Amino acid sequence: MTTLDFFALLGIPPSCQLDRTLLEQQYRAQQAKWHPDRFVSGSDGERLAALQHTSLLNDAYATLKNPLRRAEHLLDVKCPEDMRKPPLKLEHAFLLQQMELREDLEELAQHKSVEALLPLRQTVDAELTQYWQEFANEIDKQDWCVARLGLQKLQFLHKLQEDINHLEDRWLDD
Amino acid sequence: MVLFSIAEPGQGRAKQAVQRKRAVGIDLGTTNSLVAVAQEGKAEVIADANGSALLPSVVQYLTDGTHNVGEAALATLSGTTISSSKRLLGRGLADIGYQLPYTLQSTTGDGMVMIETAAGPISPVQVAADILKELVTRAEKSLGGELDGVVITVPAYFDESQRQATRAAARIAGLKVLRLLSEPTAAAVAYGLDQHLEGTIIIYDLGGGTFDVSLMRLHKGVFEVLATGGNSALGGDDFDRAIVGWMLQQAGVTEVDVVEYRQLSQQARAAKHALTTAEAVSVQYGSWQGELSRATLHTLIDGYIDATLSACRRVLRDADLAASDVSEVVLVGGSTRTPRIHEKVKAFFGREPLCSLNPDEVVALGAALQADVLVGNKYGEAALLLDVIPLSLGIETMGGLMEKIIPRNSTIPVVRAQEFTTFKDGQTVMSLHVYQGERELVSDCRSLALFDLRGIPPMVAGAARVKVSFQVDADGLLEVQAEEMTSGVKSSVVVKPSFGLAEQDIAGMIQTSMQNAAADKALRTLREKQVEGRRHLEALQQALQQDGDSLLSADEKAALLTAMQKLETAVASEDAIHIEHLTEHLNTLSRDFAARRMDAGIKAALAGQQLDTVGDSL
Repeated sequence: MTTLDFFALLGIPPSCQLDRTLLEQQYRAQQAKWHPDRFVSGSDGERLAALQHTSLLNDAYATLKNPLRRAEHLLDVKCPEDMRKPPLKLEHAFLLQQMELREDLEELAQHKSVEALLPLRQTVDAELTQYWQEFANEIDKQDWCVARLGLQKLQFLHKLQEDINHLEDRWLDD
Repeated sequence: MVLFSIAEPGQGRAKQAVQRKRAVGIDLGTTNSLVAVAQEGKAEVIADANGSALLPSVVQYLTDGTHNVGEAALATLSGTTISSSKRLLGRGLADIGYQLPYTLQSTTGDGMVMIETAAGPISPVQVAADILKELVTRAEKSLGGELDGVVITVPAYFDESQRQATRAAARIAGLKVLRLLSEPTAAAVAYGLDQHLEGTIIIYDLGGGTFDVSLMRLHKGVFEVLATGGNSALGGDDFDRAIVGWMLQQAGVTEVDVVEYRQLSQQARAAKHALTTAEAVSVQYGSWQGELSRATLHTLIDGYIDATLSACRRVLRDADLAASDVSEVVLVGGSTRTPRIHEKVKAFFGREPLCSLNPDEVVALGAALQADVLVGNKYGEAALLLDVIPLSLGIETMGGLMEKIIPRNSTIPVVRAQEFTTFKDGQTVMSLHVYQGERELVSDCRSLALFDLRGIPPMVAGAARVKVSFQVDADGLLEVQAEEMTSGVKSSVVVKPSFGLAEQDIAGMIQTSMQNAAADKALRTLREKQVEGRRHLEALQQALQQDGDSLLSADEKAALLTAMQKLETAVASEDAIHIEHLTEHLNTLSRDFAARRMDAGIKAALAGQQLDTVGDSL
């Protein structure tokens, strides 16, 4: 299955770094042209085309706006073949570290204190910065297999960050 | 009747200027509703005959089957008066956990609510339709003709069933809906187009019964909703209820009847309004008299305000932004007049909130501007709205779990697909149950539709590949399709969630409404005929007085008088056809008299000063 290239669809260079202003400009320009509101009195065919195209645009925009999904998409576009190869295994040390961070979160979940969560949040943020840097380097070197491994690490950490956010939301809502 | 009718200059000549299409924006609110119209990029609300733009969202149903809307419904206490029914739209009994000044019953089957009234059970959809009709009548009178389309606003946080219920109400009212528009988005359009606001803005919209918050980016006519949230059952009504609760507690009363409750609610609302400027206000119930201070009001309502701020926090997080990234905070909705809200919102966002447009009107104004664009009246650069779905959409998987297919705050239109497989060997049918909500268990989410994919070829468990696609169009309407990929078997459903009314019920209501329209039309015809008959009678009476004796024989005069007598009796009746018939008859009878009067008139004129001129022209 070939992946539709969202970078090409929105006319922005495929890269790990993102020119957000350019992305927004391109997206808005295409939406202005294709939005179903522009075809309210158009033919059925036109309306369907508008619906389909803007759905794609929205999908592309949402994907490229989110750093993690953009990274996944970049790898899918750049190197679809490597998905068929057996994936590289994550290092033992990384997995062990993740388990420890998870345990920390579980313990902190008992305290119901946003302040107590802060050190863990900072650790995760710092890790994320470091792994994003590594990932960008791997992409630059076009080292796709290693980059895919790097992406997995990022996914782990982003999930952890998300769970911290969820926990905090729950406390703040109560 | 040629002789007696004198057309006023200009009348009767239809307005033949450039035909703009007539489209309005309607804010169908919990406590008040409004209608507005836009022309040349400027919007204004349409007021009723008394100059009031706000129509109380109140309908009174009487035992004789008629109903009153708005102020008329508030004026008397007879029948059943229904207020705040927007909170019941698309809802079931289980959703309503608070006291209402009227009684609800559950429909059989889907458990959606009906309201018990003096005219029998009424659906909240019908109530909404009656309010819509009232507004449309007002608009049509003001704009001088039938509407080509309307934009109706709904709280951003309305789910599919609430949106569908709103659409059904519009259908019953006989309206062409150009778009359902989120209230905060409409407010943003008004501020963006009218006040040229740009940047990352928060629209904080607290109405009578609903709270909405939208985070938007406004940039050169593009209105992009980044995230939206809120609570479709939280609003100023809750403040009133809290005040009533406090009054009853202070008075040591535990139970009140429906009428008393309504009076207490009105008193509570008045007290709340008074506290906008006053520091304290006196209230009373029975023999009890007390004072409600601002400080007490704050303790009563702070919990609700904090809940709105939590929703703001969630919205910021969804968009991955901080409160400091927000460049403007706009207050919308009548309830934001409460100073405490101003105060707390200011503290939360660290900036003075904006409320330069009338918070009651701003939503209707924005809706009108968008209606004008959608109906095809070209004016300048059209604004583009990029809206989102407020709640995640998904299907039930094994164990009653919610599998989200389209996450909340996805920009619409959107298409997403996901593959599922069979659970049992040889399974040929797969049941797809569509839900909306954020919770993990489907039992905590709202059921939208249930449909089956049949004819899956028998395979071992896990071998079938069923691709389920969700598509939400620009109106926020969902269509779900399922396809077994190895065999190509397909099934799809346009989600029309149950909201207490089956499709045939809606069809029935539309028909009733059309019959009513026919009855309304017949009544209007009758009134017209009566007026016409009376006008002829009056004119003929005058003519008889002037020239009756000189121009008519006694017989002729008697015949005319008899015909007049008959018509006089007829106009007092309700028989339009009979009136028309007799008017026509009188018209024929008097034609000769009319001709003679004209001749006499000409002769008199010719005999007078104009004789010379006549001679000249010969």
